Amino acid sequence: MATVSKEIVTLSNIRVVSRARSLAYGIALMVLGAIEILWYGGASSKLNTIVQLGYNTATVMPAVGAVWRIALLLIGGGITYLAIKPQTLASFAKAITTVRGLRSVAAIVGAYLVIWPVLLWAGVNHGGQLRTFSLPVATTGYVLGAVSIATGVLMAWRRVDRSASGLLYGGLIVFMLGFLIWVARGSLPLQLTGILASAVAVSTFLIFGSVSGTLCERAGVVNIAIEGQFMAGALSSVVFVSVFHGSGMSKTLALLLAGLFGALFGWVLAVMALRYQANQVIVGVVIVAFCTAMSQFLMTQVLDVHQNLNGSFGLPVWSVPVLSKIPVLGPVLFDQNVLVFFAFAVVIISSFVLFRTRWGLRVRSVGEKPIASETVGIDVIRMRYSAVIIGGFVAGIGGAGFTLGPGSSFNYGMTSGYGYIALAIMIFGRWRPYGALMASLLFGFTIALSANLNLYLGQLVIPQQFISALPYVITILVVSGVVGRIRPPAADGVPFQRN
Amino acid sequence: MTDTATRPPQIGRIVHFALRARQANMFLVLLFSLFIGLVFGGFLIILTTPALMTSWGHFFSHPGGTISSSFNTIWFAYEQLFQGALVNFHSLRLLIDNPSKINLANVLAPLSGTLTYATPLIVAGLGLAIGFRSSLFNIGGQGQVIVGGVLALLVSISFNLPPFFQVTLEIIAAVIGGALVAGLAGVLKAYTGAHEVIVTMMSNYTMVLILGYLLITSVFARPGVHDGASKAIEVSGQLPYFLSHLNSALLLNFGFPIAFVTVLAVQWFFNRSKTGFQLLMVGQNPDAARVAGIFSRRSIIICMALSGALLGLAGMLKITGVDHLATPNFGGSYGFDAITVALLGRNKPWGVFFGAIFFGVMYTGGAAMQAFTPTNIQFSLSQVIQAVVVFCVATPALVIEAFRLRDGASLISTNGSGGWV
Repeated sequence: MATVSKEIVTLSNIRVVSRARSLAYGIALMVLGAIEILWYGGASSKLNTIVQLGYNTATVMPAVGAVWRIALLLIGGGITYLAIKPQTLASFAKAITTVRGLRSVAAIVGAYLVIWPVLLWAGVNHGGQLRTFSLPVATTGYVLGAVSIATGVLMAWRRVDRSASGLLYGGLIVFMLGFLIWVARGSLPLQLTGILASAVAVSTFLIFGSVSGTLCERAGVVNIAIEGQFMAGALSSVVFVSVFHGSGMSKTLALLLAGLFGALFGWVLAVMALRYQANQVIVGVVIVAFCTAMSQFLMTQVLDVHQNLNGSFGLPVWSVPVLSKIPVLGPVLFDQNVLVFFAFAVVIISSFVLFRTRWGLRVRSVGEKPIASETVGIDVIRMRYSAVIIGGFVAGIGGAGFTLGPGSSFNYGMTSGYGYIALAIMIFGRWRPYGALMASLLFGFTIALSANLNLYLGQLVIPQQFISALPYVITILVVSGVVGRIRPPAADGVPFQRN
Repeated sequence: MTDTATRPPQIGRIVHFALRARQANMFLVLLFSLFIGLVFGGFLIILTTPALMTSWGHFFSHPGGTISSSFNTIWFAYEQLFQGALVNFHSLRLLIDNPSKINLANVLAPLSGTLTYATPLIVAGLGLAIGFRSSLFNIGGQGQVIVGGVLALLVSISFNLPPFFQVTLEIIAAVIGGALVAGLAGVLKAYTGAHEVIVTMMSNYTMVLILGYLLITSVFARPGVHDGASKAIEVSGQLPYFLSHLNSALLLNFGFPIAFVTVLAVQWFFNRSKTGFQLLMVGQNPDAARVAGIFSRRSIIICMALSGALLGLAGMLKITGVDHLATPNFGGSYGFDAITVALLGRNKPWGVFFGAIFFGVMYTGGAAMQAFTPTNIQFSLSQVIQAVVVFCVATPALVIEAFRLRDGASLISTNGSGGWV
């Protein structure tokens, strides 16, 4: 094959790069696994770790008799098999399974129908509560370390270039699990489900922020002002709800108001960037500076004096009827406050709108090649305005996730840079809403982890500050290419001048 | 303006002046920005002062009283801001009546506070301006200030040299530390395409946490005290005070001349040096620079390192001149203030110099305003005004259009792209 310059993107070049990356990831996983075996496994500790999967008594799968268990097993196995191997289906059923996403949903449902009876036989349903496991630290370290190494060997040896990320994340999750079990050794139980649930809760505003960034940048406008939109949304929603003493209706309207305040700053950004063609990064930073000063001023001048204006009101928690009964996954995904479900909805809707509607196609074209869009009659400026304002709206609602989500009052500086982390997440998610969702959950996990690890500080050799720095360091690694070269929308951040 | 020549000369001169006055220039934009900021702050004062709001409730029965009381409140607040930051007229009159050391010190006190606060900001703003002028957005000011400060503190704790050498060594350590941290972001940008905004932003949070950790280690922590503050810098490592012979409360120190020299150095760097010219070129048009044979990777790294070096120096000036010890929030909002200072100064060395002094005015003046206004108008109002002013200066097109200034096109530079990779 003719050698093509490395700079030029060809299929063979991509394959070379991704295979090299797979090798690197594999070696990294092997090193991690070896550390786990040598350090955790080799730790002369005879201690056990109590892993607590139960979260609350309301979320246990109902116990059923032996006949039902076998029936569930068979049905679940069948669904899983059909979902994985659709070739065996009749043409009618094949048509259904080609619907995007339906196959994976079927696979998940089938897997759960299998897992349910297996868990019941394993005796997890222990007096209305999920059973707690007691794992020996050393043995777990050996086993999980070995799994990490095996994954790494597989990646490095086979040089997989298609499913590299799946294997990588699987190996990393196994490593993290081993790490957690090692950290939580001793008497204090490891509340695995609790950590995961708080991870999802924490990632709410990250999801909103990164989806907002995705919407704006797909249209070619860099929205660094997300942090400011967070602050505006957080402050306005909490004041609004407090004025109405936390009545149900006011919470709904407060979300709307938070969104409107976000949209207001989105509009300011749009005017500056589109009408006056100012540098978008500068405008964004200045908007953040304004929002910071303004929230500090309102906090000290008004809210500290009238503390009834800064109450703690949480959004209601919604347990999805059947799904929240699933062990571990139920409380993590389906027993959360309403905003979490809104966040999932925003991801689904924005992905649909961006990739399946006319508006989305136009937004993407405006972000890639505005001149060409102009030529075919698309109003570039108007498309960018609409995308940035909608993006601001989404970010503003995300701001309400700081206050109304966990039900805390507004605190100056509570957004603590998550607006910028949301931008990193957007890059990590490769400017796609679903990618943003996944990356948000990953970051949410590191944030929840660093918060939860404080419980085990005694047995952690690492200072607490280093654990807290984890999300930030991971962000640096992510943007500096751990996820590989990524391609932003071509006209991202470039002002458009109409001729 | 040509048609004014045909008019009678007296009127013509006035018209000519009026037309000239509407000619857009940076000074006018600054003036109008300040005006917008003060008006915005005035509205905020009215909205957040209950007494004024009640009087606005009775606006239609006493329109004159409402307006005059609002105006008086705002005027008094801004008067306190001005007098607390620059010149107190009362003490000035005392000095004129009775020239004495103490009265002179009283006159100089507000200005000394302003310049003391502004000193590290000048250097930090210059560091960011270097980045901005070559289109690199170094947001990591806070982290680099922390690194500079901590290394200066480390030098002062570990060595015991004569004052001059001690301070010189502190400067070298701080400069190298800042350059390394920012240079790392430059290397990542140059070789992996990681956007410097995110990398430096994240390095801020990391540095804050590392600082929090360092302050409880035995190297920095004071033995037996757990208030989070570090050991203090010895007198030999401190920057000496200027005016302490007048009054020991005058804290202006030798950091200010250092900052002044830095302004001149950066001025020289951009106007006269080869590297400075290359950086400018990369900032103006990266493609043209590449064609002209300027290696953009190298210039990215150099630019970030220089920027970080100045921010490290700013950290050193802050800890050796102002704080004399490190606390967990040592970096404060310096990084962000420095960004806005650089924007305010339009990335010109002297602009940054006066921009930083403006920030100093708002800082010390804001504190005075909070202390002396009867309703304790909060310090953060000055920060809001500051943000509005910077907003207007950063987007001069807004001001130019709002006030119908002429020929503003030269001021509005779209300043390259702000894209990610």
